[in-house]
Amino acid sequence: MSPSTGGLAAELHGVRVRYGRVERLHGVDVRCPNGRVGFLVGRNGSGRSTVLATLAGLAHPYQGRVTVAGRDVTTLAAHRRAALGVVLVPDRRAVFSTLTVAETLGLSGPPERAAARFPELTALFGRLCTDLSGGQQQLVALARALLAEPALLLLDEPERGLAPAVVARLRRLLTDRALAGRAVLLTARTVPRWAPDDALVHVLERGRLVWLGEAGELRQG
Amino acid sequence: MADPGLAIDFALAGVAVGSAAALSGVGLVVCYRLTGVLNLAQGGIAVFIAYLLRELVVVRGWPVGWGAVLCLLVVAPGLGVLLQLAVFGPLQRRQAAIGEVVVACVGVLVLLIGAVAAIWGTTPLTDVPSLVPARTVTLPGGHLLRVDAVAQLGTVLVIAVALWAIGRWTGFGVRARAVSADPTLAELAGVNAGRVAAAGWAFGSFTAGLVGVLLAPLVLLDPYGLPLLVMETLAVAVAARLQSLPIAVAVGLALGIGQSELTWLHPGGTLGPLLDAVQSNLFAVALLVAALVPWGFVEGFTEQGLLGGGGVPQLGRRRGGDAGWGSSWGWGWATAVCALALLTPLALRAGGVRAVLTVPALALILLSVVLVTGGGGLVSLGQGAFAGLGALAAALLASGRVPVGAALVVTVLGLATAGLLIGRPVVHRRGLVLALVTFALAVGLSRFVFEQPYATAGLTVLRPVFLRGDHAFYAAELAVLAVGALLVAAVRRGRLGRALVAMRDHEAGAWAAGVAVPRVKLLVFGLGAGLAGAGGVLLALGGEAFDASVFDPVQGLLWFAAVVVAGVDSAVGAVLAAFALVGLDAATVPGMSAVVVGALAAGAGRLPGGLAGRVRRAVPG
Amino acid sequence: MSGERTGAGLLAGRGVLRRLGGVPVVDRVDLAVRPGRVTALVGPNGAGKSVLLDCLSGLARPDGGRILLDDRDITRAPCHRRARLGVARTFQQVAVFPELTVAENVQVGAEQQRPSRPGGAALRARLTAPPAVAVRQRVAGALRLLGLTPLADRPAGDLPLGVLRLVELARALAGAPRVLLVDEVSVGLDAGQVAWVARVLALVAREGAGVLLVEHDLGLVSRLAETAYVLDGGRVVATGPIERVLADQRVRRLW
Repeated sequence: MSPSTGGLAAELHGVRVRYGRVERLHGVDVRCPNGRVGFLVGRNGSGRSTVLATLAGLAHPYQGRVTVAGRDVTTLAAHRRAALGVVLVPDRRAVFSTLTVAETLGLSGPPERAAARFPELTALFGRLCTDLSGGQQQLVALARALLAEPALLLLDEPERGLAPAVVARLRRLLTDRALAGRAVLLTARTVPRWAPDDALVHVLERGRLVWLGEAGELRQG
Repeated sequence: MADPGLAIDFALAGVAVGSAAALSGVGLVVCYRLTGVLNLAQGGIAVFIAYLLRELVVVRGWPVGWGAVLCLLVVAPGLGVLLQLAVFGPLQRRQAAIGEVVVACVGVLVLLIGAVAAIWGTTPLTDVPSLVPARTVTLPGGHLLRVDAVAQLGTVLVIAVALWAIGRWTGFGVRARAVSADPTLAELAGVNAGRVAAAGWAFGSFTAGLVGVLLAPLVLLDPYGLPLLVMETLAVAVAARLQSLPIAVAVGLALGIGQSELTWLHPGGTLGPLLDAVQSNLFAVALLVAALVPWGFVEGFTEQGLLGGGGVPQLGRRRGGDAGWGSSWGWGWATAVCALALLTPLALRAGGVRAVLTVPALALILLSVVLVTGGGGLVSLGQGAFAGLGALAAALLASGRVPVGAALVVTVLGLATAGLLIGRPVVHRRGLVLALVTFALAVGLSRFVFEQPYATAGLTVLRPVFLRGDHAFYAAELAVLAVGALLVAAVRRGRLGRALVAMRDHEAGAWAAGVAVPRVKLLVFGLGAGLAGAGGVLLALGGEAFDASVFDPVQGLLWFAAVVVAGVDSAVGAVLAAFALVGLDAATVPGMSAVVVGALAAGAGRLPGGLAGRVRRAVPG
Repeated sequence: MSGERTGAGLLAGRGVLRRLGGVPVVDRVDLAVRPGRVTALVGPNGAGKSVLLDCLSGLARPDGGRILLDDRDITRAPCHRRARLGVARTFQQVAVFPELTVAENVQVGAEQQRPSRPGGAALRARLTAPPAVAVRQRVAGALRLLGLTPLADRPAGDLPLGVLRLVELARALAGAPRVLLVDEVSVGLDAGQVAWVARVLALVAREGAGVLLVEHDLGLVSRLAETAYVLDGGRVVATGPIERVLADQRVRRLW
């Protein structure tokens, strides 16, 4: 698939982000093309999660720009970006402790649709999210995010705590979404084997982008 | 005595107060869960709405119904939305520390009380309209039932059930519960947390107004009494740990009924006055108990930043560039202006000195806030109470004809010790809980000591002969203030000052560096109590009387807000704030200083470092 | 490297257990930090490394097990007392005091030993006294060791993350620690700074202190440490000489 189909779902231009006094991103460019899976690769503290937070509107750059579908959203609040189809699943505590599974899913759409994708959820509908295991919580969070039919899906280490069978299904879902023209961006420590050859890989180190290219190139090199 | 019928009558009588308290608790809990803010301004909203209703009905002759509709369904919710838009929304967006939120609340409270005092005066009013006429119905068995009490109880229950149903069955309710569980995650799910918070403030203001309107006919309506009464019902929300509506309703009703039942017991003897005091101030007792009982067991409480690392206030924190607490202290032009202002009255005629006699005393109390909150990062709302203890001790000692110097020393040492003792169960609390506990202490001391004849009757405060003249006394006050200022300067320059900054900046880091955090906090709390006590001694001697109303807890909140506005780490700011507080009320109408300080404190989130910080930035060097 | 005296300067955890919300995040861990050596603690995110460090330094109270310093039970000693006994640490989220200058930051770490003078003199010393000569020397030494002397009077709040890590390390060293617990020190440092820190940590160990290094940078770990513990899901899954541990297949799978 050529990178030209469908343009960019979102983009960071020379973004600098500070948490308190400490600068976490020192002028980073990130591109999320429609129709492709993207990876943010790096160690702990390299700034992967901060990039996701900046795209989702939880962190606001003091320099640089954030665009979604070509529109400048640098100062837009998180809930408005969610309305534009940018949906983030954080890496922990990704569910509401006092809501039931059905209520959580209901925030983004009819719960039954999520159950069609993940049948194991049906049995959990009446349970409080806080009573679920870590893997089940992660599943609920992912199901809710997918229910929102996001234009850009941001996932922070989504496979942690999931059963292997669910992981396989999730990977297939993400690849299918990309094939359907949507954008997906996830963080990882290294580029996983399942990544399609045309996946766009950003390698981050200490808050800087040090390599940008396709997963295929990385494999040949 | 043991007539069960009588017990039922008293219980029925207590329902009116109990349901108002329950309503207050429900409002606070809902507002907290939707906004993350404990509405300490509730008393201010209540008194404002109560005065507004009286103005419409009694002065302008509106029917009670229309007045109530306008006040409770239009003005109060509108005020709440305004608070969210102008004050708390901006704080929330930049994830302000809990200390800043407390200051903003106190600011709104003080502003509203000041506005009421400035608009309607401070004379107590008796002609307050009741929403429901106080008719009684005789029940089978001869018991009297008040219709208004039944109506109130019904209102509380209807509101509680309606809230539950909305939360369970409506889309908005589910979104609101999502915000209550985790605001960030809710935003990510596309929920507009700001709008939910606005709804929370609208509801909180509505209940605050309703509580004010319900309680006003039961008391004399004046700008200071009703807010404090409403703030004592914080006990209900605190007992419910800001989470549970059923507990709030149950505790509110239980306290109201319990208070009524206590009037039934009426022992004589020496314990009589004390028990009477407990009865009439049962809510103050409950507040103290509820705040002091450990909060730790509440699930998820730490996660909400109430007790967590972020709980330490970042008040008045400056960029490290311009002379922080630990480094040099600007003995610059500001100090010179300040010293000049303090010395000028010595050249005035006697009348002129008399007018500013309270300034150095007040400055000492404000300086204690600078030390405890600015230096130690402890949001203590109880410094006024320590001042009151100082004043009372001075009065007691002076009545016993102890030399004034000795009285001062004994009082200050005694208060520092009291500060250490009181501080022991207090200082390991943080943020909002510390603020609540210290406020509860202030309320308790005010209600059980300062206002009680058994503690304050028959006190005569006479200055010793050599301080009889106002000039001499003012000079003596300046000397004490100078000692206090030097103490604060010594603390901030030395090892203790560095430890304090370290503790405020990063508490875990300070622990790991070997700073004995609990001892340091206790030390600064004790020193602060001593300073405030010295100020209280001077206030009592200056006025040659012990005046309980000076040490009212609401007054203490005003002082706290004034220091934050002036710059919480600025000793010079504290002195100038003392001048401003005394001067504004004297030059205009009483309450004006509260309006100014309250407005500035409500906007303190936009004024980092207070006025002193702004001046410091404007004038380099 | 003959710093191995049995017992002296040895910080040890015995069956350390710590639960969060009922779930054990550190599950009966045995671990020893030997004097004169760098010991590494590695493992994936969320393995419980930082929580274990909190238990060792006293910021968290273990739900079970004991912490020993020189065979003396310090399980119940609060963090600041452990610091005064010679257990220093740095933090994953760098812990500096932005309102103080670099030198003052270090001074806070150096001056916490209790003044020996009695009564009022001690109080005066605490309130006002200028730093004692010994404290000043220790501050200057720590600043020099980490190359911070030129920045001594700069407010810490103005400095970049990499320098702040050095400031934090200097503060820990200024207390003349016998055991140094270092949490993810290489994050935010450039290659030159990492090399410098590695030299400093090696020197600290050579002078007889025990160093526990929590680190993701396996290059740094294998350069410095002799022994390693691998933590996964709160348990020690492998331990022993560093080469053997890092070559272990089970361990390699964790990365």
